[in-house]
Parts: sequence; structure tokens; C-alpha cells
Amino acid sequence: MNNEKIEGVGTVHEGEYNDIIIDGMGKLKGTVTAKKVLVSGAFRSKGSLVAEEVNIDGIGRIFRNIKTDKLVVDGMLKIRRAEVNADSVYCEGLLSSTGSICADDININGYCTVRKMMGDSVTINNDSSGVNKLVKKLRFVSFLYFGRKINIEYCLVDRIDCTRLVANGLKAKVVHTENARLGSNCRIDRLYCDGPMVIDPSCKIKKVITKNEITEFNQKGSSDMADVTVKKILDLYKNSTINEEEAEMMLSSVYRTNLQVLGQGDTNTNTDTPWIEDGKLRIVAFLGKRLLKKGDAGQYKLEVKYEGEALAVESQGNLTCGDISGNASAGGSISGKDIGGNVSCGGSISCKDIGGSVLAGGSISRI
Amino acid sequence: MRHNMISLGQRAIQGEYNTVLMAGELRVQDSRIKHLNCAGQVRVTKSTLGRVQCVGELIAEGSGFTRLAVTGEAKLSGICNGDIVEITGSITAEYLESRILSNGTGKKSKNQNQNNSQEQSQKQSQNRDCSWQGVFYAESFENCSDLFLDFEYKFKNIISYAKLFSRSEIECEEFYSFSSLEAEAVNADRILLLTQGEVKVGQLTGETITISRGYQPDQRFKRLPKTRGYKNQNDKITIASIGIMEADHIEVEYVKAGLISGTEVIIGDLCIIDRVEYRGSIKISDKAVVNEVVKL
Repeated sequence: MNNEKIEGVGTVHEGEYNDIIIDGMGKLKGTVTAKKVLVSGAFRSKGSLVAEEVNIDGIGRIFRNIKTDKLVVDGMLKIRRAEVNADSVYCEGLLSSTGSICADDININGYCTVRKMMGDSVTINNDSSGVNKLVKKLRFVSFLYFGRKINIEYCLVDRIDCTRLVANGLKAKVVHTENARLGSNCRIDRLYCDGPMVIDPSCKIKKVITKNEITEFNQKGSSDMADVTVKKILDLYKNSTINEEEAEMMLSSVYRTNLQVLGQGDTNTNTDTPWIEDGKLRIVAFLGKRLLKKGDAGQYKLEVKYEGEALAVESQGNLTCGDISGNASAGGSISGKDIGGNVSCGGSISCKDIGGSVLAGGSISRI
Repeated sequence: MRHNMISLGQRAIQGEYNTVLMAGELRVQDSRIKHLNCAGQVRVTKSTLGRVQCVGELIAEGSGFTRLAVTGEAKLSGICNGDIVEITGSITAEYLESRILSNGTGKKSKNQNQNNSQEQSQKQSQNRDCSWQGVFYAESFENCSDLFLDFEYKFKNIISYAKLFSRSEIECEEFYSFSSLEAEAVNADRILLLTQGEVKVGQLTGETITISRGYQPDQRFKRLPKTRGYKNQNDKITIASIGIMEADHIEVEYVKAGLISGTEVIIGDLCIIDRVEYRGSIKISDKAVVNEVVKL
């Protein structure tokens, strides 16, 4: 692999490189893989970049995705319509991104304006002293250049998803985290936090939502307020504001939600089941809330009898059935009539015609 | 050299072709084909194909397509790309990148047109083996057949004309659902849901959220890359169930929601909302029930 060094003006073309060093003005075209990319001047990337380390000391403009182990920004890095995937991101200069930045460790000790940050540990300390004075003066028109607003008082991030957040001078719309330590001058619209929170009095958090609160809120919204809601719906009907059909629709909506909260709702759409709504008939057994698997079911000697035609049948125990147009599967034995598809079971099979293949742990007999 | 070819039975080809019609088993390697119509099994390796219509099984490795339509099963390995990719059936892709990716074509068969009963069409859609596995990148994703979003994807725009399920957050820039939707959360700049079919979403987050019973396509929707336009499906109108909605502009009707939080909020007919938080303006229909209104 070659090294590429640009000291004047030059272009780095698609390929694999050892080190890429740009001291003047460099442009990157095509997909480039390198061990190290060091930029001291101006750098523009119009191709995707995969590198072990990217170090921007000057000005970098990135228009395609970057994948790197370590991204260090000491100067200014503008990322537009592209994403950064890194193990660690360290910024002491200015970092702007209209895409998302994903890294295990994100450490901002300068200024950033980013649409979305995702990481394990995110540390943001707003320090705009290092930001170019020109950027500060032209911050009102900087949107045209960066594609994002610049506010020197705060680091701007629309959304943060992380495990641990430490921030000073952060302004964010939505933050999802498990551990938050917010220092001075933070503004967050909505903070979702499941774990410990340390919030400085100077911070302004519009809403803090814990996991329990979301559950409680949903349940409260469906049960406590139900009576009031029903009363209001009936009032609307009495005043002839809504007709009978509309009132019925609204009441059934309230009633359905209440049943779901009480655990008696429509089980067809229960998302806890490990399969999707595919119309297939499944005969299963639960022990408490645990779904019994094939091996478990045999211990309990389950016997299922099914009458009528079916598309496809899966049973964890023994299966007695009529005609099945699709496949049949059982943990124990199967006895039935015509089966149009494949048959597989742990025990014996006793049926009429089988359209597909047969796999049985025991004997196979035709009735 | 460009020429046309008709193939029956087993055949292996290599080179440049204009139109290839085949039935049986075809192997294509290091080739450029303008049109390929096939029924049976096709194996494509490191080739560039134009318009491909395949019924049966397509196995491709590191190939590019201008327009790919597969009815049956597609297995794509390596990096494959296409401009328009329509899959009716199941697909396994190691990495597929396309401008428009479509699940099903949304076209009804003649028999189905004659049989308008909803039950029959439901049965047919349930019987259809439709499983997606792998990694998919697309500018626009069109869902015309029931689908469970449990694969790795990144779509800029999602337009769903059929049932869509997801156990995790659906994230994109523009999200349109014109049929049933069941998801934990949807996060998009623009979200439009029609209350035709069953709609159940835990949380909606975005800049603009619109939930209504009808839709007149606007310029923004018309400009999206897609293979088909919006047609009113005349499904049964129901009340959508949403947990929390957060956006700058929210306009809803036929919705039951726990919390609505936004700058400009319009609550339309037949809404049942427990709590509404707004910053700018709010309009509430006489036919709506709102338990709590808070100005932030």
C-alpha cells in the first residue's frame, strides 16, 4: 500500500493507502481505504472513507460516509448528508453534521451542531472559545454553509441516544439515556432517563420521563380517565354533535383500550408472541407466562384435538386433526386425515394421504 | 456483440445480449443483458442487467440491475444494486442497495378483481410466503404486501399501502402509511397515517404529523421516487390508537392518543385525547374529546 502526501493542491483517487497526509488542499474521490488520514489544510471528501484514524487539524468537508476507529477534530469538520461510524470521536474544534454520528465514545470539548448522536458514552462540554471568530460573527448566515443552526451558547444536538451522558452547555430536543449527568446551562425539551440523574439547577429540562412514568401514563390514560372520556362522548351524542355511528366508534375505541390495559384485549395482535400475524393456526401451551417449547410440552403429555379444515398446523404436543391443506408439525404424534403439505413430528404418524415430505421420530401408518 | 436469445432447459451464457427469453435453468456470468425474461431458476454472477422479469428463483452475486422484478424467491449475495427492485415473495440479501425497493407490486390478479370480498383477499395475502432477510438500503421503500420489518434496513422514505408490522422504532425521513400499521414507534420528519385499517403505534416523533381518514396527494408526496401513486383503498375507517405524539405541527382526526405535544396542534373530528400540550396555537373540533389542554 502506498502513502499519499499532498503539500500543494491535489486529489486522492479511489484505492487503498497506508497514510494519507494533506498539508495543502486535498480532494478525495471514490472509495478510499487508509490506515491514517491526517489533514492540516483543507480537505474535501466526495467518496466514502474507511480508515483506522482520521485526524482533522484544518478544515474538512465530508459529503460521504466515514467509517473509522478514531476520529479527531481539532479544526473544523462539516459533514453533510453523510454518517460517521467510529469507535471514538474526539472534538476540540467545530463539528457540524446533518446526518448522524454513531460511536462508542463521543467526546466533544469544543463546539458541535449535530442532528443525531448515538453512542455508549457521550460527553459534551461546550467550549466555543476555539471556534473561529469569523464563524461566530457570521453565525446567522452559517446555516447556509453548515446546513444547521449555530448557537455559540450551546452545543446543538437534535437527538441523543446513549447509555451515559455527561453534558455542559447542551441544547437538545430529545435525549434517551440510562444515566444522565447534566452540568451548567443545559436545555433539553424531553429527557427520557431510566437510571440515575444528576441535574444542575441552571439546567432547564422541559420534561423528564422515566420508564415507569411512561407505563403509568399509558395505564392512567386508559383507566382513570376512561369514565370522564365516556361521559364526554355521551354528552356529545346527547347534544347531537356526533351521530350514533360516530359515538359507537369512539366508545368502542375507549373500551378496546381499557381491555388491553386489563390484559383481556384482542389477543390476535399480542406482540409478545414470537411470530407475526400470518394467519397460521398454532396450538401452543403456556406454563404461567412462559411459552412451552417442543421439548417442554412432551413432559406434560398434551393432547390436542382439532376438527375441521386448516391451512397449516403446528402443535407442541400430540395432534389429532381433520384435513390440513398445508404443513403439519407436532412435538408428539400426529393422527389425522389428508395432509396436503409436509409432515414432521417427534412421534408416530397415522393419517390418510400426505402431499409433501414426511419426517417422523416413530412409525408411519396409513389409515 | 449484442444479440437476442431464447433458451429452454439448461443454459449458461457469458457476454453481451440484447434480449434473453428463457424457461428452465439459466446461468449468467460476467454478462451485460438489456432485457431478461425468465421462468425457472436464474443464477447471475458479476453481471450488469437491464430490465429483468423473473418468475421462480433468482440467485445473484455481486450484480447490478436497472429494473428487477422477481415473483418467487430472490437470493442475493455480495453487494447488489438496482434502480428499481420489486420483490413479490421472499428475499434474502447480503447487501442490496436500490433507489426504489418494493415489496409486492400491489397489482391484483384477475380472479382477485372479480372476487372483491375482503375475506378472500385477506386469505390470499396471508397465504403468500413473504419473508425478508438481510441488509437493504433504499431511497424509497414501497410496501404493497403485508410485511414484518424485522430485517436490517435504511430507507429514506417509506410508503406503505399494506399492513406493516415492526417491534422496534421505524426511522426515516418521510413516512406514509395508507393501511394497517403496528409499530412500537415511528420517527420521521414527516409522518402521514391514514386511519384505514388498524393503526396502533406507541410513539410518533417528527416535525409534521398528520393522521386523517382521507388523503389528497400533495407536491411533496408526488415528488418522492416511487413506482405507483396513491389510490384510495376505501378500507374501513377506524380510530387509530397512538400512545404519544411529539412534533412541531400536528393535525389529527379519528385518533385516540395519550399525549399530544406540539407547537401548532389541530385536533379534528372523533379524537379522544387525554392530554394536549401546545406552544403556539391549537384548534379543537367540536366532535373531539380532550381531557386536558396545557399551554407550555
